[in-house]
Amino acid sequence: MTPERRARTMTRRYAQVLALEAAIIAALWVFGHLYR
Amino acid sequence: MRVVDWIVVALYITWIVVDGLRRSKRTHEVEGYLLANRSLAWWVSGLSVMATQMSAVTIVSTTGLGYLTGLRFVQLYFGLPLAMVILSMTVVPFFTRARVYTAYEYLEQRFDARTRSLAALLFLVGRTASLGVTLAAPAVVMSVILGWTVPVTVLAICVPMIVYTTLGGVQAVAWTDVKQMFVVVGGMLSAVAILLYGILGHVSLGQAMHLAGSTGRLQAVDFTFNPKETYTFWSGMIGGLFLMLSYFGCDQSQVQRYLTARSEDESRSSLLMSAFVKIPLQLLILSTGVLVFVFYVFKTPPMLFNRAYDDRVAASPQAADYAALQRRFDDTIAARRDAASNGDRDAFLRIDAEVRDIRAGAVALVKQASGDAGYNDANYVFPTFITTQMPIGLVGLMIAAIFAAAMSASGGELNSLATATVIDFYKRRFRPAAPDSHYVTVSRVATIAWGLLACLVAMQAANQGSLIEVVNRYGSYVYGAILGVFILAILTKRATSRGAFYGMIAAMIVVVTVAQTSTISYLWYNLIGAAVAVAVGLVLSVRPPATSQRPAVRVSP
Repeated sequence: MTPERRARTMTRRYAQVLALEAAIIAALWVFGHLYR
Repeated sequence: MRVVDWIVVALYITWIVVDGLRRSKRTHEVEGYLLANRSLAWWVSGLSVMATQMSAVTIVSTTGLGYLTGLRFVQLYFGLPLAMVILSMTVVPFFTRARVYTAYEYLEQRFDARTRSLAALLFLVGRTASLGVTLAAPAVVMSVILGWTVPVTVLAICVPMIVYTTLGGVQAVAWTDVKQMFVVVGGMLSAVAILLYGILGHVSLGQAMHLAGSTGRLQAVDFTFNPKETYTFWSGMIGGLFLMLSYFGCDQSQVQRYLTARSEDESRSSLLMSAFVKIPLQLLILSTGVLVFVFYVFKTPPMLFNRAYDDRVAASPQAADYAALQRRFDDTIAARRDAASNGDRDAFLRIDAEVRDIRAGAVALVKQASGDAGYNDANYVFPTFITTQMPIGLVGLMIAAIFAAAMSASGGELNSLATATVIDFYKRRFRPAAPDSHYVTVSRVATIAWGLLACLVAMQAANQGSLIEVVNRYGSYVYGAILGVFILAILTKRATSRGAFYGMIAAMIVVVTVAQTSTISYLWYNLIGAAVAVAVGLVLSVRPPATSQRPAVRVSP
């Protein structure tokens, strides 16, 4: 794997991590409002 | 616990010890013993990172928190994914390219020996005490549940853990962690299945969630900004971020886990595994606690989950009051069940508040009768559910999971204590050039010595609840300072050894002062400590004395 491709892969993973976290927090917030 | 359950626990503990040792290779070399020759796959290191962080307290106390307060504790981990991304981009390349054994070794490459020694010493003191608490907290609970004495319970956790950590080194620790993570997750999923089976016999899943939600237990996110509150979105995102940066970036018990990965990218991936999985895993554990609450709406719970003090309360002047509370509790629980079954939300909430008051009264009576001011009934909720409600065989699996979590967290910590002792002190100051076999022998002796000391600390901490609090506070006093020094080392070029050393000391003084004079949540201490260390470090680096000047960064990312 070339260094550029490795760097792109890691950047994509970082973005996935942060997107997943944002989705979980949003889902928890909605869930908390649905069941209160 | 029946015979089958004991057999499950015994077989499991034997298996993890034997298999951990079987998988340990080239442990006669110091790099093999301490860093697995930097050969482990990312998922092995990643599971080891997670298992080291997840102690038995996570299973016992976090489910209790879920039962009492719901999902809001999960906010503590909101800073973790971002912390993992930052660490993957910053410290991981530095540590892996510098080929260090310990995080503190890097501080000498960048600054000087005294900065390294101070950071390593703070780690050794804090981690030994913390290891004692990691062992003591579950031992106290399990001793009540299993009817053992605290010293026997501590030894039941310690002896197998010290054996596999001493003989197999980091490889045995990592492979044991892998199995333990599967057992813990499997155990929790089994508990969820049993809980759902019990609950769905009375109400639908939607009704169960409305019941839990009506008490506020499903309100996981609180956007209020209040530094005095520990569990809010902002405390988790900002304070939690710095806590996780300190823990995963500067604490040898974690750094050593990802240094065992076979490449820089695999080290990064092992950290990112926690970033992906940690919050869902915490939600699973907290949700289990919430489900236990709903389960006990339809099944009569004990007034207090810890029955160990029953005899003492019965023989005390508080006996009559306690019996009266018990009668009131039985009536109230029946009324709450009826309200829940009829879907009468207002009545359910009113009666549930009454149940809470009765429990609080019972806890106060137990504290008076037993003299145990730190008594916390929440810690006994889940273990009591396991031993009284789960089917034969699964009880053994769950008890094995709790022991597994205690051993996996403490094994990693013990292994890192031995590593810092040998690499940062023994090799650095006493025997810089000895054969590998010598360092491996010294590492094994150090592992046993730290293990025995941790057992003693655990037994002492178990008898003295306030000691656990002191230890927990110690970590928050020093972590920020150490993080600040690493920020100076990695992100600035002008910082000098003098600035780093005195910046670290200044940060600890400021954090202790803030802790003693304000009510700010401990989550913010790491941010304050790191900020002070960086600021003081940079100021003192402006005109360093000629004698303390060190070469600029030797290792570049």
